Amino acid sequence: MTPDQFREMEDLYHRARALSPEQRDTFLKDAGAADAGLLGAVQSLLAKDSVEGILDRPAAQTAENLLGDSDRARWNPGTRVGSFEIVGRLGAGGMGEVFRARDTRLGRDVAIKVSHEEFGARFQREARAISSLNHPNICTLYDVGPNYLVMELVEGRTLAERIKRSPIPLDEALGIAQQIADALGAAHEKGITHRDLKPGNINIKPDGTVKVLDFGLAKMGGGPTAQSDDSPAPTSGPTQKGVILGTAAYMSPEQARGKEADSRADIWAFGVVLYEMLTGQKLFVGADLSETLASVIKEQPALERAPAKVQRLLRSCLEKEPKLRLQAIGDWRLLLEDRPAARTGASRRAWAVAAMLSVVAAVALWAPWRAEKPSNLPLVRLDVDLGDDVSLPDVTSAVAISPDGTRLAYLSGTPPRLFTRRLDQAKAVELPGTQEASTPFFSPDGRWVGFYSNHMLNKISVTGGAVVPIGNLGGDNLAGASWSEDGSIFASVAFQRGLLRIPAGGGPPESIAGLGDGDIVFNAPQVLPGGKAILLSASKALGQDRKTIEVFTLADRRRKVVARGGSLARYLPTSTGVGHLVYVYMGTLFAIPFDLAKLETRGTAVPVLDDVAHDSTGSSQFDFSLAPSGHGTLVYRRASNGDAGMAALQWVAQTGKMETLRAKPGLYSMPRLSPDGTQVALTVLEGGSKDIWVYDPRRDAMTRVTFGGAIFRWAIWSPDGRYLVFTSDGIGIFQARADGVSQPQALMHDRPLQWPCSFTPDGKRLAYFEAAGNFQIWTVPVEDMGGRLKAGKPEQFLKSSFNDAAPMFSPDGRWLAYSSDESGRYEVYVRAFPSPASGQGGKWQVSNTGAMWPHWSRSGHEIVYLSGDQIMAASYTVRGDTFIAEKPRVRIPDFNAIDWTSWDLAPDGRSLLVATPVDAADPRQREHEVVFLENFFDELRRRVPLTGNIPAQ
Amino acid sequence: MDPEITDLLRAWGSGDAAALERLAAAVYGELHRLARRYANREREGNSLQATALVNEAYLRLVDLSRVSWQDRAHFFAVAANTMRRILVDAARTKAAEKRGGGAIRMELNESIDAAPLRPDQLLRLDDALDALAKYDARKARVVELRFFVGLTAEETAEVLRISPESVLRDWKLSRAWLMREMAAS
Repeated sequence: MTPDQFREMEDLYHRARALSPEQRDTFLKDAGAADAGLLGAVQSLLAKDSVEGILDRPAAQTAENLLGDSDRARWNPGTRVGSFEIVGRLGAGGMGEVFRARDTRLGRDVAIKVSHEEFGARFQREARAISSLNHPNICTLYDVGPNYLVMELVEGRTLAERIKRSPIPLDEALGIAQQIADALGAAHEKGITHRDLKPGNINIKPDGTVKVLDFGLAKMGGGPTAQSDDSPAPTSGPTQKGVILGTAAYMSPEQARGKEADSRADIWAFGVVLYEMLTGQKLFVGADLSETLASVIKEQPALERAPAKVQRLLRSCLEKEPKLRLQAIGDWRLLLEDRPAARTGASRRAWAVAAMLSVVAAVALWAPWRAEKPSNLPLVRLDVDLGDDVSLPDVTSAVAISPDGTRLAYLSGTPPRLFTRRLDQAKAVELPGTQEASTPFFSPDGRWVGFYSNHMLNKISVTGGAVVPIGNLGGDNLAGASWSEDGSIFASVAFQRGLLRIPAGGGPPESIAGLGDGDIVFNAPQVLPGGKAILLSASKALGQDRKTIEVFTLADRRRKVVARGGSLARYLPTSTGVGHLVYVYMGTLFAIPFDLAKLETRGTAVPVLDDVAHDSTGSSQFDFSLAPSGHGTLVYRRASNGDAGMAALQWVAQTGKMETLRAKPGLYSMPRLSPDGTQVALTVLEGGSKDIWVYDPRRDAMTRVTFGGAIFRWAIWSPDGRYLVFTSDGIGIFQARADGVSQPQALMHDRPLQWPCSFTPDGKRLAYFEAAGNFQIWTVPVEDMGGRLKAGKPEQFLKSSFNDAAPMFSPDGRWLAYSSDESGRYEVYVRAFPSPASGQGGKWQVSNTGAMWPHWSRSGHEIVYLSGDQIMAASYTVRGDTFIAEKPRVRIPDFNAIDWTSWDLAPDGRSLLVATPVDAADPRQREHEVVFLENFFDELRRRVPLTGNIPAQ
Repeated sequence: MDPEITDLLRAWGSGDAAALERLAAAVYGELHRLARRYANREREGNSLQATALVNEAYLRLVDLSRVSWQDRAHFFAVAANTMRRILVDAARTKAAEKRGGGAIRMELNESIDAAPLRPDQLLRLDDALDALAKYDARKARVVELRFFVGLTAEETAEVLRISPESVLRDWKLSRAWLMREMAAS
């Protein structure tokens, strides 16, 4: 842009701003902004007027975090921070370092916990609430700095150290439990939940006083207790995989499910800690995070090892359902059982049985619950941030996971170098000498990473060491390699030589399958289990449709096409010989059952993931491991166009001014405000399935109401806010309690395609529309059976040969607004409800410019609807049986929602809650994020059942 | 009080362009020290007021008996640019620390009203401001005074010796232009 053009743009901008939004476009066109670029520039500037940005508050107010000291020197002994003088370093934890300091004002010693990063304002506010806790068994939080906490200095050992030495005798353990319970009771009384109670957070002073540490600080993030409020169960959001491990074992089922914890989560943890004190054993143990979480959610722990006196208490603390659990920690002693002396015999026998059981359990594996091996674990999604310093190149297979699932190998940097990272550790290790590396792959034992660089196929130990050359591939690029159990590496190269076999110990490559006529390359070979055949993706030319997925049998050197159109095929094995073949087509991962003996697919391919990174050649980025224990892990990179459909939740005021409600974008649709306006029900697309979640803006917490497996969407609230009613495509209308504690249940399932829209104000009747040829509107009586809704006999409201949809009851329940295409396009109409007995009730047209989705304003006499890209509002009056709608006015021009259902009217009748499209996510972020889907094989078995006589596991 | 700064301010006010550079260097040190002190001290819900900070720097550095009101305006113009550089430098340091450490990212679910400025946002704004200054240097000054120092339209108008209306018009356009530019970068 030249300076002159800039002036012209400025002039047009100011003149257009003086006009109403409706007049602007005409003005700009008339003003002879002949230059389309200039016109666009002015329009884009005008659009920014209604958007909030960082410029709207003086920098200094929001930039303090940049100015604070972050250098380590500040915490050196002798230096002063406020009135505190640093004495020395006490240790380091996940969150940062801990220092001993002298409070010069009050003349006492304190502990200062310093975080690596600044705290947010919200955390600081919460911490201030916590600092009001003053109890002899609670480590007092004195003060909160921008990135540090000043706390009571507690000498002594942690309970974890005490337990490690030996189990604690019953009387001593109950004494400790009493002090823990006192601490919890005092906090709960003030509405403060600990959220991360565990032996490592409980200190025992030399005089025997118990101090509970880190109250409510689990939210702080960054530490081992990070994100326990809304992660690590099924969720998105970057999580440091593995680092959560320590805490999962004490997490309540509701926390493990990713729900918000209240005081009852502490009661659960109290039970787990008590058990551990008495037995010296952890109650919930898993090989990894997802197993631990799954056991917390599902397994009924064996409590026989604990003394009889506490078993009733433990059972009550460890109720999965918070409502059935011990409700107030102060009552814990009431549940102790003092058995009469006469029953010691029985008690002793019980002990003997318990001892035997524990041996059985130990043999079965080292955790009590493992005696019943879970075979069907829930999918756990972890968005793992490998660190800001990582930049994964946009090439096929930049990331590989070791066969045992414990290690990741990835490429990073320019030129790319190879890194490995153990998943239980926070730091990656660069493998020296791996510049220009590509195509990393693991050896079957997980001890080596193979890779290609400078014409050579190489290997290097996962822990580093020298690069070992395996074979020279000449000038041909490697298009994938697979390391077989018997020590051969099958490598595929572009052009003539096709598929090569190279001894893993080194040696000359042998061509075993030359490219056929028109073949360009065999992509991504995989040695199938048994080592007799190779799965590969053959490309005839670049592009999706010219690809075939083939199996090459080594004995007769024959190729056989097993699927068409996809690439990067992988067979995910099971113990039965029938597993899943997965492949990627245009960023969608498909799965189809595959018979390993016959080398053929069964049934049809089903899409299971829709955001796998791929490039124009169709190459894509994912890898898998059988871990844990055959439940399977899929690791993949998200596609850049996976951002399509990403939305944020925004309030849009009557003025068009937007305010973000939930900035973290997701594949959200159809937000619906709860009747009191405090919560939002949402449909969220994640991992290929749609589910209903409830978002609570006050806590910024997402609670999942439905769990995968089906498509659940289109949720509406019952007027009392207790239930959500939603649709499951192809099945019918479902219901669930809005607090997420119940499984979804069918409300109506005799017709497959029905969409609930609105309840009468008394909640006794539901209006919905269903597809039976065309859309037709029905209503059905609904009764609250206490905990669930029951539907009566449906009645058709309106029988027509047109499409009638989106029925919405008026606030007084007398009228039904709906959309109908009877005029040739959808318009909003209103009819009386119920239909007059004559059957000849009036019908009033509200909109006249094409419209969908009427919403009634609850406060004013208005119907608000979407017409094209405008939100319109029409006032109305009622005279007797007559409904009089006035001429609609534009409420919000240039309205932008992710789709036409994805907005709702606030209870005040003015603001709109909108799922608005967000710009593609920061591409830099994708460079260092990968997604882990744990228990992916279980998920596949649920969604793409393996046919044939497969024994139930 | 720093006699040299007072001299520099006066020299610059009477047209000595070379004095500006030395003035800026001197002001940077004082403002930076003050800003860090403000940011690090125990806060009781008071957020950093850059206007107060610049005023304090002015009172500390300048001999009021020897300067005119125009000199104060000059000082603010320099201080605004300096505040910008202090914050941008801090942002650059933070961004580098982040890259170097591969630190665990915290999701603290900031409430909207107090969301802190992210280093990358500030760096992009800095670039966009440079681009804006190429088209219209005055607009960049307006943004510096209003955004980095927090001056009102009237105070900004006083420093730049233009009408408050012009300040508001400049601000509106600059705000939209910068937001668009930052979104595009």
